[in-house]
Order: sequence, then structure tokens, then C-alpha cells
Amino acid sequence: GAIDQLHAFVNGTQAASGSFSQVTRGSGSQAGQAAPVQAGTFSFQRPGRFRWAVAKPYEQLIVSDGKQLFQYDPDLSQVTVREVGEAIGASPAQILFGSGSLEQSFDVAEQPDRDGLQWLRATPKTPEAGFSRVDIAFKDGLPARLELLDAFGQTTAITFNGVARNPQLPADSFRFTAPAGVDVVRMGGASPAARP
Amino acid sequence: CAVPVPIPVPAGADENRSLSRVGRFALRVEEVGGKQNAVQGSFAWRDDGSHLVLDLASPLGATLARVEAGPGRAVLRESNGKETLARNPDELVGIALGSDIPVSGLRDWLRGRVAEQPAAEVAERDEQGRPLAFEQAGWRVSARQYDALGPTRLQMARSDSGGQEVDLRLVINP
Repeated sequence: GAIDQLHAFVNGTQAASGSFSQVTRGSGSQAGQAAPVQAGTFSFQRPGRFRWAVAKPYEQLIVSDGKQLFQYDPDLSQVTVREVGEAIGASPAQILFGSGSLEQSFDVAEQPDRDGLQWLRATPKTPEAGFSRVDIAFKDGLPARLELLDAFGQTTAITFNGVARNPQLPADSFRFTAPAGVDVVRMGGASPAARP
Repeated sequence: CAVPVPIPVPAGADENRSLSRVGRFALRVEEVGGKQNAVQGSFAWRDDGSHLVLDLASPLGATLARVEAGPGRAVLRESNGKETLARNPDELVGIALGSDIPVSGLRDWLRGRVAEQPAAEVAERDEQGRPLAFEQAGWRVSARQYDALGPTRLQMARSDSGGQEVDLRLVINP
């Protein structure tokens, strides 16, 4: 089932890379209305190092070197830097890329298979997570899809493609240096709005 | 960062009165002692002239707060279910993000307009007379890269009497 694939993935896959596409759909008054699809690449290395690079329709980069989390938006010409500890918290990134056990911050339950994938549902134990639940689908032991339902009924669906298990990652994959002229903001506490 | 869904404009709302925009924001607050705090995220804005809905979302797309404002009344709903009422939306977004945001001003600025009140000083206009740089209600505003609906890059700065510096940037998505 999905839960044993998740445990095997967390324990057996020390690193991975691939591409993603992401779309958010509304509900109620905004049903059927979707924001444009975002696409990009990701990679991670346990514990705690990951890279989430949106390429289209605009550029945005989130990089964690395990100690600090960098969030860079070239159009806004700003990068925020915060300690990883409080930044990731109970977020989907922590589920897939972290090394802590999921069950610490989530109640996890198997879901029926759908679209040929095995699904689990993770419900945050605290309302502070900023979303209501996240469903994660597995195929051959790797995450294939992630559907995050927020507190306003909007669903963000992320599809992972071409996931390579334990690949050779470039040495500087999880390092970030701010380009010249960009505003670097070192953060105190992490407010929920900024949690990846 | 995922983008919240553009909030559709209700049928019947007068077309040029309504503005629906989706983009990203970066808010930076510098305290007197130099301590910095910043929030980045995405937003969906829909203003039909009388009723405004503003969704603020985290980088991964989870809507964290929704501010709704109508004549003389505004409500903030946060993702943990908490609801706060106020007379105007500016302070409500301040609760969600930690610093007041010129939401009332933005209702005009996002349309490339500067309201008569409160008093404003427009320092620069483009050849079509659209405001590029101006000051209003204590905010120094730069509005650039216009498309048919209005500016797609806004930078707003304010330093309040307590010595706190606020810098807010908005980018409208293509």
C-alpha cells in the first residue's frame, strides 16, 4: 500500500530528482477556474536538503541546504533566508524530502487506489499547518502525485515526472548565492505565509 | 510557488469596474533595531468596484488568508479558521502578514489610477499620463510595466513615525 511505499521511500531513497507540474483549482465560486500550470524541476538529498525550482510561467526558487532555507523570486528581486528548523514544519516538503517520521505531525491513512496509483491521506495534527490535508500517490515506490486541499477549498495538484532515485547530484545543487543587486532578507521567526 | 486561482468576476459586474489579478508579493519589514522580517507568497485579487476579495497563499499554493471588503466592512479568514472583522481591509492584511498593506490605495493603484483623496503627489507619468511614481497616504509608490489593465510591477515603501521601514513589492503574473 501507499504507507509502506512511503516508509520504504523515506528510508531507502536518500536522494532523488525529477520535474513537476503544478496547478491550483478553486472550488465553489471558483470551481473549474484554474490558475495557469506551473512547471519546474526538483531534487532533494536527505536529511533536509532540497531544491524546488519553478521555471514557468515565471521563475521562483526554494533551496534548503539543511541549515537554511532560501526563497528567491527574481521578479520581486528578493531572497528570504530563514533557519530550516522552523521553516519546513508540517509541510508537504517535509513529508517527501525530510527525514523526520510523517506520523509526528500528521495522521496518516491509506486511501483506495485511484488512476492506477496507491494513495495515502496525511492530515496535519495542528491547524497551523496552513492546509487541511494532503493526499500522496505512489507508483513503484516513488511519489507520483500530491493533492493538497487548503482551508478555503482550493486544491493544488502536483505531478512528479521522470523521478530518478539516488541520482548523482551536482555538488552545488543545494547551495544558493544571491545574485548582485537582489535584496537579501535574513529572517527571525517564520510566519506561516512563507512556509513552503 | 503555486498561484491561487484567479477569482472570477461575477457576471453583471460592470466590466471596466472589475479587476481580477493574480501575482506574487514580497513584504519586508525592517524594525528600528535593524531586525528584519519578510514574507513571500502569491495572491489573487478581485475587485468589482464595491466588493474586494484578496487571497494570500503560501509558496506551495495553500491559501493562508482571505480578506473580503465591502463598503464599511471587512473580514479576514485565516487558514486555521479564525475570523476577524474590521472597518477597513488594510489592518486586516496587516494581521495576516504582520504589517499594514495599502489595500485601499491598491484598489486604484492596480488600475493605474491615483485617487483624489487622500492627497497625493504624482512625481512621474508616462506618455499616456499614467502614474509611474507617486506618494499617497505615507506610501512612496513606483508603478511600472503597464499592460492593458494597469501596472504589473509595483513597489511601495513607507517609513512610519516609529522608525519602522516597510517595503512591499507586487508582481502580476503573465
